[in-house]
Amino acid sequence: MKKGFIFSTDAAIGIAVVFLAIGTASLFYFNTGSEAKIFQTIEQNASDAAAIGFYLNKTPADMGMGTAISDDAKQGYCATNYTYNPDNQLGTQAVPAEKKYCGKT
Amino acid sequence: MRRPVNCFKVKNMKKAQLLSLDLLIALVAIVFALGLLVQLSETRIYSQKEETMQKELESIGNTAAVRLVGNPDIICSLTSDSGTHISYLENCIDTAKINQPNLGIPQNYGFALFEKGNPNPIAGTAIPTAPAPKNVFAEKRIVVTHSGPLSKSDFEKCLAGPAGNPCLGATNRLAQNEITLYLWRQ
Repeated sequence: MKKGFIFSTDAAIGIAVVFLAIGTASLFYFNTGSEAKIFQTIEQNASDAAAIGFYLNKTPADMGMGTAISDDAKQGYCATNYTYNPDNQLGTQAVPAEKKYCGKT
Repeated sequence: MRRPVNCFKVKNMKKAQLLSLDLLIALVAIVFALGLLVQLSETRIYSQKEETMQKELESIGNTAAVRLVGNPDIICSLTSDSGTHISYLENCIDTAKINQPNLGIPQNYGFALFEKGNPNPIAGTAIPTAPAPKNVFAEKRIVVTHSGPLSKSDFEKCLAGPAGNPCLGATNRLAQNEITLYLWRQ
C-alpha cells in the first residue's frame, strides 16, 4: 500500500459484498410477503367458491376452480363442501359426497 | 535519561501545516457518510410511517372483507318455515344491511362496495377523485345476495336446483354476485 493511501481495493470490494448481501436478503424478505398474500387470496377464493357452490349446487368448474392441485402448481388451496341430504334420518344416512374447489398459482 | 518517543510526530510535515491530505480526505468522507446516514434515517422513518399506515389499511380492509361475508348483522338468516331463526349463512349477504359500523370500519376511513357490472356503489361512497386517496385497499369476494330472512324450504330449493338457475324466482332470488370492497384513509 502506498503511503498516505487510505482506501484499499479490498475494503471497497468488502463494502460492495456487504451491500449485495443486504440487497439479496431484503429481496427475499419482500418476496416472502407477497407470496403469503397470494396464498391468502387463493385460500379466500376457494372458500368463497365452496360456499357458493354449496348454496347453488355449482360444480368447481362452474365456479372457475379445479378439483385438485396439479403438480406444476406453485401454491394451491382446496376448500371442500359436502352434499346436503334433507331426507337423512338417524340410521338411514346417505354417505355425503364431497366436492373440492381448488385454486392455485 | 531517554526522551519518550512521540508517535504522532510527522517528520516530513512542514511547519504550520495543520492538516495532511489524508486527514482532509477522511474528513470529507466522514461528512459525506454522516449526511448519507441522516438522509437514510429520514427515508427510513418516512417509509416506516407509510408502512404502518399501509398495514393498518390492510388490516382494517381484511377485517371488513371477513365481516362482509360473516357478520350476523349482514349475512342471511336461515329460518324455519314458521319464521324461527335456525342459523346464519356465511357468504349470503343482505346488501341493505351493509354499513360502516357493521363492517368494523373506523370513522376516518372511507369505503365503497361495488357489485360486478354496476358502476355505482351499492354501499358507502364513491372513491374521491380530488384529492384522490394515496392508498386504496381492494378485495373481491364471491357471495350470493338475498333480501330478508331465507326459509329452509326455499334454501333447499336452491341446494337442489339446477346449477346456474335462479332458485327463488326473479324477485328475491339467491343470486351469485362478485362484490369488491374498496377502502381508503380520509
